[in-house]
Amino acid sequence: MSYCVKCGVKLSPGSKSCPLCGTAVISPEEQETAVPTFPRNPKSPPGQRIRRSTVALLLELLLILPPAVCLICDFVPDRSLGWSYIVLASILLAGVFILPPVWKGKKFLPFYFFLDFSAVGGFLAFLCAFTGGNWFWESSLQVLLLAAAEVYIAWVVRIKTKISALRFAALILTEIGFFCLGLEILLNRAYHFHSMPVWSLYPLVALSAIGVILTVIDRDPALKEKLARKFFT
Amino acid sequence: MAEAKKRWLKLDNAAKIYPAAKRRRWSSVFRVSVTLSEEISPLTLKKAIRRAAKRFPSFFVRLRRGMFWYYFEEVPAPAPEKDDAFPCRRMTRAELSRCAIRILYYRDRIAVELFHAVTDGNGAMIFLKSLVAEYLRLQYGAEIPSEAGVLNLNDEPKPEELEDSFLKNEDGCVSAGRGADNAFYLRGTRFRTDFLSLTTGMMPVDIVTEKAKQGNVSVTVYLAACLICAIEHIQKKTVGKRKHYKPVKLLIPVDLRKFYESETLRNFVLYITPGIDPKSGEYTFEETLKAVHHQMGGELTRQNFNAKIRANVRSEKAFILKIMPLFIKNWAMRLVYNLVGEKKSCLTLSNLGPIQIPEEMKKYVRRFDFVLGAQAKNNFNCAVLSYQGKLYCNVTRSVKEPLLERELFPLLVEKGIPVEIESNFYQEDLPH
Ligand SMILES: [Zn+2]
Repeated sequence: MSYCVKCGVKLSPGSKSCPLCGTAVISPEEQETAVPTFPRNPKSPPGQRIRRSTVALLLELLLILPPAVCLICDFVPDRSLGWSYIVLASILLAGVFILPPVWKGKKFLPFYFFLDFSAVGGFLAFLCAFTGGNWFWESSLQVLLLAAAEVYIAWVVRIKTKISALRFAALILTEIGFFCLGLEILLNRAYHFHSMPVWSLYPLVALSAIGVILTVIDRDPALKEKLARKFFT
Repeated sequence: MAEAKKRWLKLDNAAKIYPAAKRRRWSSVFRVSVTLSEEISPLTLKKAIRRAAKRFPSFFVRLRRGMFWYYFEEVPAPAPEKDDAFPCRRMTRAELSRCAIRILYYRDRIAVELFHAVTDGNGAMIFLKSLVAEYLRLQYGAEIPSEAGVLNLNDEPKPEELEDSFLKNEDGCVSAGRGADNAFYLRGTRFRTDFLSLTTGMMPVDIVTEKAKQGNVSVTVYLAACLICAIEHIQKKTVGKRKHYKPVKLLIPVDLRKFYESETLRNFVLYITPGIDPKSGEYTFEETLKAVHHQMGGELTRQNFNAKIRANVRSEKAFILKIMPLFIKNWAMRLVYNLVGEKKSCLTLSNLGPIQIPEEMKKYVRRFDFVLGAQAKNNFNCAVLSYQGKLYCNVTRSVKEPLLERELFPLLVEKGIPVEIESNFYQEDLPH
């Protein structure tokens, strides 16, 4: 029988080290008689996982397939490329969104944020040029920047403060309200629909009101408990 | 079996949270196991399971989604499987839709793993004892009477065993609140797979009982106090200022069968959360012991339970909840579970107490074990029972660091209780 010199607990026969503190057993005499408490299954050791890079590679291969087919379809009838550019651009956009997080994990969130918004901007600019319009520079870019700013605010608040789930929901709702307002102001400026915001005031008021209600609920633990109980069956 | 003849059961009141709150890391599986004196014969075990399935229809079920609630549907008894490398492997949605019970064997051990919505620890123990008695009869021709929690497999299942005792015992008049501060959270690095590490501390029951008696408390209270002190020690080491200290609380299930003389084989436990709040000042072991004893004594009353049951049942009966489609209810329950669910306690301590079996069985049965699976957020759990003079304290964890074990067992040794340790975790299996 061996004991751990550090913890003072008796160890099962054949143990090489103490399961509590990792201290090696000085004289593990009964090595042969050791019977593991569970089958030591080589198929499921504690730390095996599908490699991210494998998943990323598989996804990449899957993403290449549709554009390849499109290119062939577009090229074969008249020996020139036309509509398949849009397909290519969309697939590229999807790739930018999906692949980096799958490949590198959550570590580079700010980078993905920047990358994704730039990719959407690039995609829209391309569409705009392809269709021969000017709408991207007139309004879409501004709307996109507004959306990016709001997502960024929500994200910073979520990461940097210990905001409760309810208050965060309130923040998101209020932000959506303000996004509507911003959207209408930007569209009005670009295309002169109205001189003042009209439709966006309704979502703004409604969503902000819900936000305030959620914040009030969040302030009262007893009420929160009561609501929780109502759903907790 | 004809499709129309399949019996079905509503989930009992306490069980409803489990399917809704389950997810990748947490499927609320627990396990009871028995170790015999000889290697298990899978063939005999298969026969015994088939016999037991008729007597325990509520155990051999699968989880199905209805429009408004989940429900259980009877399935044929599954074949026994070989035990895995670790206990309480999560049950995936696909597995639950086939069968919510797993019967496993490894060398001389038979284990029953159950989705918690099916029954609680006590119900599972009655099933395990009856199953093993039948196994021994078939394997060795042993004559084992149907007593001490071993049910006669030739009887028909009784309606009172299948009842939802929560609904039947609703006779209080006040609703008990669930409000409390969040408890200290034991951190750690999660295993990359669903691996669950199990560390068993074995100690002589008479010494533990003696120590508990010296403090004029029960064994559960004594162990709870030891756990709280161990966790408090971890908090002291990891949290800087005392004003940032969080309460150290345990979730302890109480078997209501004795209180209400119920024979149900389904869930019938309520939880109490004794603990200390070290923010205001340090607690000695004796003070912790006293605090826990007081809190448990105060909460363990029939009136208190009536109130809690009433609160549970009343919210189930609310009209709006009845007509709300299941997916919305699930979403809401999951949200609430994330908000309040596990944060009120550090871990669960479940004590099944001394396991009684018929005298004739004792020469075949060496040991019993009770193991709690991982929880969604809380990384540690502790399940206890005693058999033949030995107390088995099974600490499970879903993180790499044996934080709690490293404090708890040396603390028990320090109190003068000799502890023997066993584990399924091998440092060398971890990738570096
Ligand atoms: Zn040690």
